[in-house]
Amino acid sequence: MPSFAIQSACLVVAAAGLMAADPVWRSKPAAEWTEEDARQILARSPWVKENRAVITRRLTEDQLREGGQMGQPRGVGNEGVDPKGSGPKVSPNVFSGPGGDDRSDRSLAQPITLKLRWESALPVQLAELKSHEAEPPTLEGDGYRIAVYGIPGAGFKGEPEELGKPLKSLAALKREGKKDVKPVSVEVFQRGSGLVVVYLFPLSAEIARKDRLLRFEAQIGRIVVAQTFDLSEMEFMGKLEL
Amino acid sequence: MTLINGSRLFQKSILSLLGLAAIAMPGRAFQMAAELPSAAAAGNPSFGVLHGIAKGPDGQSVLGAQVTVQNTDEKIKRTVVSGSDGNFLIADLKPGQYRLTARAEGIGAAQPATVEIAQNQVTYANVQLAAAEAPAQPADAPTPDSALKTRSVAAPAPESSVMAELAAMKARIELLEAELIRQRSPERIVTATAKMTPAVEPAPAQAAAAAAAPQQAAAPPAPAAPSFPEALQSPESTPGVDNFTPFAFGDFTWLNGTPRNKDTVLDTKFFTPEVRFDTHFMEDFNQPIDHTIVGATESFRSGEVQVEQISVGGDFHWQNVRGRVLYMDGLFATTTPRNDASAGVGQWDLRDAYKYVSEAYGGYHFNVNHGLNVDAGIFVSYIGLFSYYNFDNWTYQPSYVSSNTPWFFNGLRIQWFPTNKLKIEPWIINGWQSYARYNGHMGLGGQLLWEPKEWFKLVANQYGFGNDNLGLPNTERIHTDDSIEVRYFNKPESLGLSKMAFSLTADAGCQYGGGLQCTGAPSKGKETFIGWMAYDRMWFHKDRYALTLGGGEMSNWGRYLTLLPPIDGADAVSGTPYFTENPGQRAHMWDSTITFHYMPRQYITWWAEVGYRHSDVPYFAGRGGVTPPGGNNGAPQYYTCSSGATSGTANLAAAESACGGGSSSVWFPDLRRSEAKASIGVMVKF
Repeated sequence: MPSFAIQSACLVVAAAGLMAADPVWRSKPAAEWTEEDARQILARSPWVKENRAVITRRLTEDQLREGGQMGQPRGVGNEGVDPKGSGPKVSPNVFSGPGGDDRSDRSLAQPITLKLRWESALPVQLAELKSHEAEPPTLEGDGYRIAVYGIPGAGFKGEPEELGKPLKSLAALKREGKKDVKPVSVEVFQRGSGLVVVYLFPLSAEIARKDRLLRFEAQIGRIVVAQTFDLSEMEFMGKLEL
Repeated sequence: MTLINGSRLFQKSILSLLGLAAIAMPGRAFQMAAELPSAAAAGNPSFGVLHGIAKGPDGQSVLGAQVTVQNTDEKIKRTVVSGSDGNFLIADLKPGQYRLTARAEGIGAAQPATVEIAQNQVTYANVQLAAAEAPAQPADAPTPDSALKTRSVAAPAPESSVMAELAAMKARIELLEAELIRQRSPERIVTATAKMTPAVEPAPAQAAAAAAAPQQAAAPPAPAAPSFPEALQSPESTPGVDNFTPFAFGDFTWLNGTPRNKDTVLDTKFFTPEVRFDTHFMEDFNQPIDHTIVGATESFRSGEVQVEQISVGGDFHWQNVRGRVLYMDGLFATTTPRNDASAGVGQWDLRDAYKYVSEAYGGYHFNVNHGLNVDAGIFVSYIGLFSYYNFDNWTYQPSYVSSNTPWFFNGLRIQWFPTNKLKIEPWIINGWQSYARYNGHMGLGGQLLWEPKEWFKLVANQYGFGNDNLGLPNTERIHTDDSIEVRYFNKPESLGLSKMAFSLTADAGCQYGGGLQCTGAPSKGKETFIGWMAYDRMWFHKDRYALTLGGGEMSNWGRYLTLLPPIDGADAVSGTPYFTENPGQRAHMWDSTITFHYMPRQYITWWAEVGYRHSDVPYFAGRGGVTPPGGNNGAPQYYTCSSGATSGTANLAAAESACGGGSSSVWFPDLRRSEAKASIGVMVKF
């Protein structure tokens, strides 16, 4: 009997799972969105992507010098990205060892999960409103705004714009057959859970549905992000929303 | 019937929970997956993995597509079902060519394609399903299999779709297994050779691992990487790696002349220290009685344990201001400065002033393009490919074109990085390996370094306008030194052969003016240099051991780049009557070495080397050595009497007379045409 109850419960859960309908931004008018709907949009929708980015390996001083640099780079995406304990450990045993495997974790590229969100897209703004998300990052001026959430690090001194300035030349929106679009400004907001880097791309880029795919590429210190967006999915109320 | 369905749904639910657990607790999920029969062979490193995404005619991911690979030669056939995000994965495939087919009921089939599965690698191939000619159905009639398509799930699932879900969960588990394999093995991920989809792009994290250092562990895959037109990928940039910092896109620690350290042990915001130790025991088979080895800038004493280099220093850096100092002691402190004749110009004993310094410079880094540096001071030179510091090199004793060309410069150095793969580095320097300026003007030179790929390096050093001869104010020197290095095999995780690479260097130069010329007969004052060297290196057992074979040759008319034997303590300023370096005199030499390196840790190298060097003229120290009876007499520029006293003249006839008469009254060093040598040592670099 208990087994029948468990089976029945599982049946109900599974059936409910399979009854998933169209996504909420298509099936419901925005006015009818619940907070849960809004949170769902902000968690997983065509405008919000979880991205498996890469923290590039930490270079040695020799490697930095060969590239014309000295000292570990500082700033957003460089400081605070290596987990504690990922540094080198020098063994006193010099007669045996792992050879080429004798290296620290931080000397290898590491994956990091970030969240990318089109802050300028209407459904995202509506969802933020509905979910009462505190202080969504904003930039002055019109344009396509993409925010990157989850950059590690804290305690940087400087205004958001000042912190974002070194990142401006290291980001682009790419489309097939068209010139890359560079951001007009980048700002870095410090939050308890990490940093949010917001890119503002000019409306003059005129991103259209016929572009089909749009790729966002950015280097944030040692963190390299690349995400492709399918523009055909990013329609809201029959219109491309970015 | 209901009971059957219920059981299957129950099974599905459990598997769903398993799938969730796999996401939430990867380690545990792998453990669970490992209990499945299919997982048993997943970790076999001699097998490969196929991974891809099944997509419908509209480009959407397709759930439940049956993907089959078949190798007719091996009679292998495997079929899997794509997951909810279209992902499919077939693990433990024997390497070879496979025919890849796919179909999904209600959607269509893909055109067959050929994929190449490589050992211990993940091959990516997406599947593009073309629309099938489905039998006509009433518009309102449900299409059972349409539920398989991700975006079409709208009604309670029939049994077939439940089975598809089950298969999808299995596929998910296999995907996680592959992730585990990839995390365990930093072997490269290869891009698909499949012809099914026009462009297959690894997800950023995968691409990062693929393009970055071979020693780097591959990042876990992003499961739902969309196919991406090739045109959108910048040819100049590799996704997922640092494409800004010069030469940071790859791992170049395999290069000859480059330290192999993967970590800096200690660094601060202001200072990064560097420490080097280099100790060896060398045995010259000529057995010179004065234990002196001649004709190299790396080998100096025979039959003794010697400390060749002890260096302490590091880099200072604060914002864009920078400086580097590396002090040196040991044999290098004496043996390097003695080759600089410029110290014979003027006062203040520059050789003494700089003897304990191998590098000392300061400058500024400008944020222009990928970097612009202006530094002034004393720099190590990379003319001749090998590093001044033996730890960085494939061999201990390099050939003549490296050993005889400069190890340092005093002057101004500009480094410009127009791209992250190119360095243009002009020099304005006192002279060719000189602390001082010899004559009327300084020397000009430059380096062009191009590393477009991790496996390739081209470096070209040019020097001209040099006025680098003591007492010859109107003589100019020009020189070119050019090298390539190619890593042609790389399997860093292999317990057998893990890496192979070669370097090839060619040098040419001459002196002209003031009675010297670059062409013509030796009797007309010919002063030319031509030489080459080539090395091939093999690494074994995850780069723990390495064996380097190589050598080279030089022909130097006028001997202006031939290292002066230290007969009676002679150096570049004093010269010696026993080995003159006059216009038109020839020095033709060749050598070869076999070097073994044991590198258990990144900071230490234990090494052994055997080498043979040959000269067309007597040059190397023989049994009698190059030290007069009783030791140096302080006048190396003159002949020495058999008694050990100086003759006070560089004229042999006059010396014979001064020493008491007859040829036996003058002492002669024991110079031979060949030298065989065996050495062992240890080098440390932090």
